[in-house]
Amino acid sequence: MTDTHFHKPKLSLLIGVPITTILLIAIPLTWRIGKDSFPDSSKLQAPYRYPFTNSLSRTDNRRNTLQREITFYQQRLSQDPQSGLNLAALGATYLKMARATGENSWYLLAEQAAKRSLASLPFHNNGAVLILARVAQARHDFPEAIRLSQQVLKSQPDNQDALSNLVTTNLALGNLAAASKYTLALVDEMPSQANFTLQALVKVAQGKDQEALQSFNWALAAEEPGEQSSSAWTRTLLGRYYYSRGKLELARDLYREALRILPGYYLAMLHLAELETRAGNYNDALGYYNHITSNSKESSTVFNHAVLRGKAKVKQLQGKQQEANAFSSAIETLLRQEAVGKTSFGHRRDLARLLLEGGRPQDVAEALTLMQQEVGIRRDAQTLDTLAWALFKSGKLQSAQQVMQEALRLGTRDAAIFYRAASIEKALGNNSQATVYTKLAKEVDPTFDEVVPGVVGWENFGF
Amino acid sequence: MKAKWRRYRLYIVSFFGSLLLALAFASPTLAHWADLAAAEIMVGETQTQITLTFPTGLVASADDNQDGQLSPAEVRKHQGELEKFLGDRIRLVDVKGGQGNLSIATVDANLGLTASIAPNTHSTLQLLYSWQQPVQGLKMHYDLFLKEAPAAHCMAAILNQGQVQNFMFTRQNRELWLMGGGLQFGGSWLVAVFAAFLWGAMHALSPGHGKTIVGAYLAGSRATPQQAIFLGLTTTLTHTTGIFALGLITLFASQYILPDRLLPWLSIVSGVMVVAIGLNLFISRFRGHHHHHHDHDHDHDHHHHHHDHDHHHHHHHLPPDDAPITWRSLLALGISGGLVPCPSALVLLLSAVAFGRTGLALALVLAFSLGLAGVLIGLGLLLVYAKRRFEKLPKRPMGLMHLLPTLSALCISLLGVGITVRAVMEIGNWGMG
Repeated sequence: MTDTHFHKPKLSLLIGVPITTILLIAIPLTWRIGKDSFPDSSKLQAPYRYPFTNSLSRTDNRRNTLQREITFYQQRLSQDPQSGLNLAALGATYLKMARATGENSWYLLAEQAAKRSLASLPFHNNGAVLILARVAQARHDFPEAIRLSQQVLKSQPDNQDALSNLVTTNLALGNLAAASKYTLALVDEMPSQANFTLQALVKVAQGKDQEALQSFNWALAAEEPGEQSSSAWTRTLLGRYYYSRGKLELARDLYREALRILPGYYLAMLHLAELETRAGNYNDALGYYNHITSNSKESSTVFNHAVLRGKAKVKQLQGKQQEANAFSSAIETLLRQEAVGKTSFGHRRDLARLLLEGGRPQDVAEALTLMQQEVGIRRDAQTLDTLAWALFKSGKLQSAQQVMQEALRLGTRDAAIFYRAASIEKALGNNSQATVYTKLAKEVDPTFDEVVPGVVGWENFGF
Repeated sequence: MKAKWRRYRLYIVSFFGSLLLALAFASPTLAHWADLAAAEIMVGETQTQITLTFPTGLVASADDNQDGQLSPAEVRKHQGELEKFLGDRIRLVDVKGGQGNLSIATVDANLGLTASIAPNTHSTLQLLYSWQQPVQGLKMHYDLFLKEAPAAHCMAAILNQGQVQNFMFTRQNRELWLMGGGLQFGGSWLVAVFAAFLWGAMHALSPGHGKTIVGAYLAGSRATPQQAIFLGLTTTLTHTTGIFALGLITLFASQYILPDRLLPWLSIVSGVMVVAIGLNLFISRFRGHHHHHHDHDHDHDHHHHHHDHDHHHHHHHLPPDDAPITWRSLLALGISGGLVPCPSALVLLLSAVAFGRTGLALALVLAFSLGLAGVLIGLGLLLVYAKRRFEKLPKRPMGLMHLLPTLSALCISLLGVGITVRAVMEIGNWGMG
């Protein structure tokens, strides 16, 4: 007969070993990610330290809170499906969800609710129009965002949301004078934390560092408990400012403070990931990127581009070229879908930068075409800088110099832009001018590293 | 023999290694704005209304002026074809199989929103599904995706019985079951329980629940009908316990733990257990296979003068009594198959609890699980009996019969690897890129 010396599976081993292994892996990992995402202590002093610590939650429950709000308005609409006001309120809640999660689907739902609201209530329905303006802005349809916001201002000249929209939209377009004008109107009307933060943003773009810091301080002085989103936002932008000036430790503390206020805040995490990349802490950077995407799973989000680009950069710096190429390829596919054809929601600049980083001759030509189209929509410092870069790489040095001069005239103090200006001048043989720009770059950011210029930059992630 | 085994072991390890690498570096495709759809769904007693915003490219033939948005005039003109197309892609069926009649309408905001820079890409329509009788349970099938966008998805905010739940329809996740009007009427709880039973049974036929693993296991072993029943019951019991546990976590600890974060970890536990079971089986069956050949030669040499030669010969070409079918191994496999509770059952539990009907919630989940168990046991029995029939057939080519248990064990291990890697990828491979 057969000789059967078979191993009987040990039940205790079959169940025990995997569970123990998972626990051993999962607990430290979860603890670490949790510790980073929800820091419980602050190294900062006043005014940067958040003063209302007792009001903070240990978890990110914005989604649950907003879900309850959505349920409330949906229930009201089930009683009265044509209520324009309830539809507008529902749309506003969808918009809040979109901004909290970064998921594009919520923008679509917000737009849908706003359109239904306007169909029911076509007049004096500024709430719905402003939702459409915000959605247009999120889609990088800046002219439409401006048109709708101005439509609201005609009937309500001091509408805070419309003014706020106009500030951010004009800032994205590089219309700094207009942005500054609307900011003044905002802070005159209501000197709130959000409005002072917007003012600080405009000052940074104008290169007025001291005034920007003053506005940030006013924003922090105007801080109120219960406004965690504004508190986290201000600190993230302040952190971004310090990051661009080479003060990485302070920037890191501010980002972490933002996460302490608003656990899981993806904007702070994105910037933190960028900072850790620059600091050489690649695994930490990847951890943040992964944590951001783990919340959204299959959803299309506004931060997909930034995460993919960030990961590609980290992998490249780690010397994992194959993996870097895979991420770059994914982001290129995504950007091409968005930047070309009917749905060109202003992502051409991102695609052009990606192509320029690759440096292949045919890509440079395409990047130049894309940027020539993009400056038809917006002429902010970063867009002009990218056009100058494309011209420079195409060998059109005189044109590159002219465009760079226009970028510099805006006043934006950005080490990467000064560095590029220096490169262009050097190529033109203007060595003394190149030295001036290099010196300016070092003034702005003393830690600016010429070896890996792609790592350093004023990334605004399109938000 | 030892050297041969080492070589095989090397092949196995390298095979699993390659598989893991291939799966780990698979890059997900991302959706972009123009591919997305969004829906608000209001479930009523005899009517369900869907306000749907979708890429106009899906109905390009109805967009006469090619402006990227369906105008009311275009909708009116193409009403029939739009209803047919959308009715085919988005189907709502009650538990009795009754399909809702669809009619569509526009949301005419007349906004003058046409932008010159970013043309419209989406259209919004209202879809109204109607039934003659009040609907008890509703199955929604959504299949409205752009062909060229593999990552396209539709976010649905569903108002059902006063509660809003969100659901993401993707190419991999096209079906959703909704509890119908039965819950709000105390008298019709029996209907609801029956619906839950049917739902469980139908749900068991969808991918998952360890059916493939159980199939591979039973097909490659000398399992008895009792063991098939035991396996089905263990899977169901684990599954039901898992739903209750996760339901409790969701109800009482959702502020601290996100239940959907637990699911991938459970999947990993399940996957590793399946790999362990599969490899154990593979090794024992592989060795058994070799031992068997050795024994065959031996027996043949010593028994060729015996009159029962035919009997021995026949016996040796059947799979030997080699599959380690023990109750313990069945229990482990059953647990691993049912360890990851399906979200649909969780939705069922939480929906009933949300109405303050905890008792009914328990009954519904039990009914759901019984439906699930019925199908799993049925499939198990089918496999056991089918295999017995198969054994009675002439055994040629003989090699396949010898290899069947070994191959099935390998299949179990592969499935376990698949489950584990998928779960690891879902977790996002924290910290490792």
